[in-house]
Amino acid sequence: MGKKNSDLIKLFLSLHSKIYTIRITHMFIPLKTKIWMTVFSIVLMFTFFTLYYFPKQQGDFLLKNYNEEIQNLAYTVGLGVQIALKEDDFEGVQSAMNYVKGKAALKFVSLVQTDTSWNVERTKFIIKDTVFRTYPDSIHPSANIVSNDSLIVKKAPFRSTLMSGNVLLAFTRDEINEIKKNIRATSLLVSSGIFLIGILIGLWLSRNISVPVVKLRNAARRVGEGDLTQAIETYSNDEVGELSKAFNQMVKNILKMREELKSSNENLSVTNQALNNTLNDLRATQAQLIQSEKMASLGELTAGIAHEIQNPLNFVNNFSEVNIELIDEMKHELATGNEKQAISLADDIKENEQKILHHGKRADVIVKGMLQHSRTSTGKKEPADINTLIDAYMHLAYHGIRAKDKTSNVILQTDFDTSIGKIDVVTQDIGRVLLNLFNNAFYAVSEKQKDASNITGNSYEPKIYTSTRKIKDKIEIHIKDNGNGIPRKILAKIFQPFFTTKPSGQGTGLGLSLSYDIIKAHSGEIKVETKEGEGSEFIIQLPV
Amino acid sequence: MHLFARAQNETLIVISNNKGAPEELKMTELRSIMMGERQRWKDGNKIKIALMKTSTQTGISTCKKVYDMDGNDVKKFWLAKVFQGKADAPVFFNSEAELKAFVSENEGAIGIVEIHIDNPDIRVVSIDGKKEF
Repeated sequence: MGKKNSDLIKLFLSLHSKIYTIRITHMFIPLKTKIWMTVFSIVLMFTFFTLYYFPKQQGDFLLKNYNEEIQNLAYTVGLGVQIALKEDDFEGVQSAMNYVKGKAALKFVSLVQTDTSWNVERTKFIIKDTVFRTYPDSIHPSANIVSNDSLIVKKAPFRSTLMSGNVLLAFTRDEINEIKKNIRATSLLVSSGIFLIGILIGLWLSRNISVPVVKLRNAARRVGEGDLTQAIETYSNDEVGELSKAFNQMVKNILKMREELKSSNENLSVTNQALNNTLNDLRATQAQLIQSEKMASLGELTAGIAHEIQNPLNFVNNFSEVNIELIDEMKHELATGNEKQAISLADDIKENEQKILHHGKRADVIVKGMLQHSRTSTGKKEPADINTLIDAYMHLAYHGIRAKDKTSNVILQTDFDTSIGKIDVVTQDIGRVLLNLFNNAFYAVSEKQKDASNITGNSYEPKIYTSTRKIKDKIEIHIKDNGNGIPRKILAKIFQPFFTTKPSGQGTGLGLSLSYDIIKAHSGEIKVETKEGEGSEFIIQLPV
Repeated sequence: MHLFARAQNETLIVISNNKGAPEELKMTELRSIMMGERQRWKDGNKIKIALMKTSTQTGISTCKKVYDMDGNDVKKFWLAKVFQGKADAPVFFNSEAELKAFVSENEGAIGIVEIHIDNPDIRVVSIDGKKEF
């Protein structure tokens, strides 16, 4: 029975725990419900213990003691009987009987005599129990009576030469039932008290925890929605009260911060507007500068370009003049009837016209290139022969420098990797990069040549070495000059916008900066290796 | 059997404390007292019976002459009486000296012995006018 109860309690606690865990982890349960669930769980457990478990335990304990007491009384009477029969001393049995008779729960006490006799056939012994005497003598119990719902019957043996048998002691269960009833009534009273206390505790907890927390939650929600007029009234002098105070302080701080933020925002808005204006101005200025840089580089080229155009124009002019003379001669021959000579002259004229056409087209190409350079980039990549592009811009830059200084002679060396083929680039942008780098290279060698010319016996030979090569999935362009090199202290600044070492009016300081941006826009790299006094080498890497 | 035969010829004397018992009783009265049917003397004193153990010669004689039973039946008789609370059991002694001492010390005590000795607190109760029976 005890084990059964223990198992029942374990099952109850296990189920209780599981149900509680499932609800906690998978459902949204308001705090108030949790408090009530907790209080009810505790109250239920206490009620279970006080209403069922404890009374049961106590009842069982009492019953056990009661049984033992009755059994001991039976033994005492039995011993008294045995002594009386053996020793003629009836004092013990009398005292025991007086004591037993004093018990209110005594139903009866019987002396059962056990006799052994032969059966009729005298084949075996028959043991027969008969009630010798019973107190009170108004009751006539069976010699074989046992405990039942209303009686607890205990036996105690006695043995003597005169008589053997048992003392049967029967007590009613009324007393024990009455005690159990009283225990249950007390348990019910205690359970009711616990239940009432539980309700009061629940109400108290609900009032002191749940209600303020719900108020806090609602206020926090309203604060979250932007209403900073919320304030919680605090009554309790505990953590919840402190939480309410902290919440109120937090709302005050948020309000204060919001005001400060608002003020800061207004200031920032003004500043932003000013910055926007400045930025717009800067953008406009930058656009102007870029255009200026472009036009400046174009300007530098103008002389070279003019020289480039001058040659074909000279051819055009010369051959045109020759053709005029040849036409006059042809007219004369035709007038004299010398057709054969006229046809020969016409052939010469045709030949000259072809030359004029060739040089005209050459000039056309130069002009188109110039226009292409001055045009705004489309930003669209298209296949281009990088070696041709490098060669064209190298010569363009060279003519530019030659136009400025007729005495300038630079040894141009190239080593192009013909396996590169065409790669996708924004031609105008890469052209600008190449032009910038070549202009810088020519500027560097011309500056060094100027310095060298002042030194007697100096045999400086300006030289620009250009090479390309393909390395796996990229190409490298090397533009190396033997100028003065770049001083180490300014090396880190050369790609910064508006940084230039050229005299005022000769450079915008945007050339290398724009080149850097263009190469980055092509997912490439640009770097410089230099040695002061010996020259510089710019290396461009572009993905194929 | 020898003891029983001796007992039949033995004379018995009824003695009592000076207080309680009268000087003379009839045999029927004595039997009524010894059977626990009468429990108080006329003066109100409770009757206290003192007997020799049923295993002694005097005890055997007493069982025969007073109870008309053997010793075992007397034991059963008194067990039944005591068990049912109908009478206080006699006090059984191993020696007459102890019995006499008990009678002399307890008011209302009455006992049966074989030999009387003079004791100021004890007197002999005549049964049917005889000191011995």
